[in-house]
Amino acid sequence: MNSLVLILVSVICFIIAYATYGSWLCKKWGIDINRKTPAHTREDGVDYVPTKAQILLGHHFSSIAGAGPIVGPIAAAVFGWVPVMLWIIIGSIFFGGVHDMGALFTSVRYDGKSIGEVIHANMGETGRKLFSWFAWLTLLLVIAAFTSICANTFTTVPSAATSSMLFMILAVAFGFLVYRKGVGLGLSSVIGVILLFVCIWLGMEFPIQLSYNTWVVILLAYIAVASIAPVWILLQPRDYLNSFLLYAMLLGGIIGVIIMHPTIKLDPVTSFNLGNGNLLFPMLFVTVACGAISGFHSLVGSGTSSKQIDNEKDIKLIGYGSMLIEGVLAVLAIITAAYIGKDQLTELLKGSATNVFASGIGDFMSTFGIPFEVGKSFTALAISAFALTSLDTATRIGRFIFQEMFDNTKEGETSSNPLTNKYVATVITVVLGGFLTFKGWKTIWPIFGSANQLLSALALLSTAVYLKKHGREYKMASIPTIFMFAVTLSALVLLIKDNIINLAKTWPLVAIAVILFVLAIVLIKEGIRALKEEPNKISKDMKA
Amino acid sequence: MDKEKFKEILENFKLFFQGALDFNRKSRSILEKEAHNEMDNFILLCFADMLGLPIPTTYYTLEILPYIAEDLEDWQRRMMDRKSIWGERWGDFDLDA
Repeated sequence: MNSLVLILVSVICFIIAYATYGSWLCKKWGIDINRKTPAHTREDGVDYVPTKAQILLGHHFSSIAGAGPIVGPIAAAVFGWVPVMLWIIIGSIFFGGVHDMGALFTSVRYDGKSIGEVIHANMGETGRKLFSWFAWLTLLLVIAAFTSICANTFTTVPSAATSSMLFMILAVAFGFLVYRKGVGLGLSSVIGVILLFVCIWLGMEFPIQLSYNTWVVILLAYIAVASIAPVWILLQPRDYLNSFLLYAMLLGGIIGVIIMHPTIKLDPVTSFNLGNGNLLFPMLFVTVACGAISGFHSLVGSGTSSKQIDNEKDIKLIGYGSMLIEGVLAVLAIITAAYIGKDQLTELLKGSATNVFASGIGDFMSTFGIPFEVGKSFTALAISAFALTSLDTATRIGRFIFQEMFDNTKEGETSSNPLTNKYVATVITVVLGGFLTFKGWKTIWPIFGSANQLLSALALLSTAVYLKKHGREYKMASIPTIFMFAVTLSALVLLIKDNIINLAKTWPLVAIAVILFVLAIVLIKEGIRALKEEPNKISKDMKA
Repeated sequence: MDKEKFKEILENFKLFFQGALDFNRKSRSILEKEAHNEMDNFILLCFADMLGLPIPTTYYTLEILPYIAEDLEDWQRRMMDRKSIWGERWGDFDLDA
């Protein structure tokens, strides 16, 4: 089987799905092109700004694309490439796409409010509280998993460590150049790209060799500081330069695959049971999380995108379309794992999934003249850059959630809860996340996947309740929800069962798995209650 | 392929990359939001009793009412909409996951 066939099949499936299933969803959900979106009704030039669909797609996709859809498929390649491909394609079309589009659609109908508010409106206060808990736990697991992945990458590709650190400095310098010195964006971008390659070259010349544990500690210290630092110092130009990295990597990878069109060497299917509780069902579905369905997308969609939708007809492109494009990224990831064969994959995987992906893309890019080492370093830098961004964002937002969860000061109370203090909340989040890091990303990733899927199940449930309340067909949302529950509950049971033997060593993971399991049961109960309620016949959202 | 159609596709790609590589998206726009939030907080201190919070500054701050009158209704709605910091701020940061 040639890798080009995989890309073509996935792209064709996605195009057909977009044209058929996407349009069917629009029809069934009552997407109204004549209805004014909150970007118009509440236009304020700051949050609510009507934006052209294609530009908004660029914004939205840049926000959802990152290291998640790359690591998952590579980690799941142990099951063979066929199950992974099938789940990426079917998942993106019937699960992730519906989830993203549903979250965006319901948010637009609720005046651009965030998904937490939408869930509150559809499922009550318990639903919202559950959402906070799921989000915080998932973010802890993001911290654990991505710190581990980064540390592994820096240990096995030391050039990426140097270039990542130089990249941070470059980002700050770039912002200084554009804002303080007023250098034009075009010229600054050219200088920035040149300096980027200088960073990569310096990384290759002066790699920093440290142990995994040392890197973990350094990274945890970094994210603690970066998450408290004011937004303008670090955040801004880094994301701009990250975008360059992402699209250069994507384009380079896809063009390289087309030129090289390597044959797939990995087994199509290995086994249903790989031992140590590694069953295809449910483990495949929680390992390939972000590449098929990810709860985080609902937060991005309802956070900014819903406030900028110009017309309801754009919801299909932004919500459904962007998930399908992410599916293509996931397919590229599985190809980098599948074209090298089992032995080489096992060897490279020792240095984390980034090592596999970087080697693959480096190989593909060498077909059009970029030296393998440069291509590999560049890709490793790109993934590390995304992961580092995810890390300090996760810590920052984890801190906000933690602060809000414990902020229940009543009127008249003067003493404030120390848990709501900015520094205490950050330290707790980083320490708890860091504690899990030492278990290794391979152990944490399925739990992270489970938490992420539960988050998405909640958002899907909220969409289903909304649709039912407005007298619309809702099975396209409720059936994926049921599947997500089946998958995550069984995955959590398996994880608990396998780790409970070594409870002394694995108790943090078991504890989180048990908490997630209990929260999922509460959620199922809430969902059944919310769906059983009579549809609300009088609603201002309903068409006359 | 029809030339018009080709131009349209090229324009779509151009707009997509314009959005994807938008420098202001994660910089100036976030700072603008922060500045607007600060302004909203300031008006909250001045006119809190319009939201039912009995802060007696209004006697003194009525002077600035003509300058903010046009935005007052929108301000009230923004204040009532303030619910969850993390829920509303999430989109400002890139989780990339």
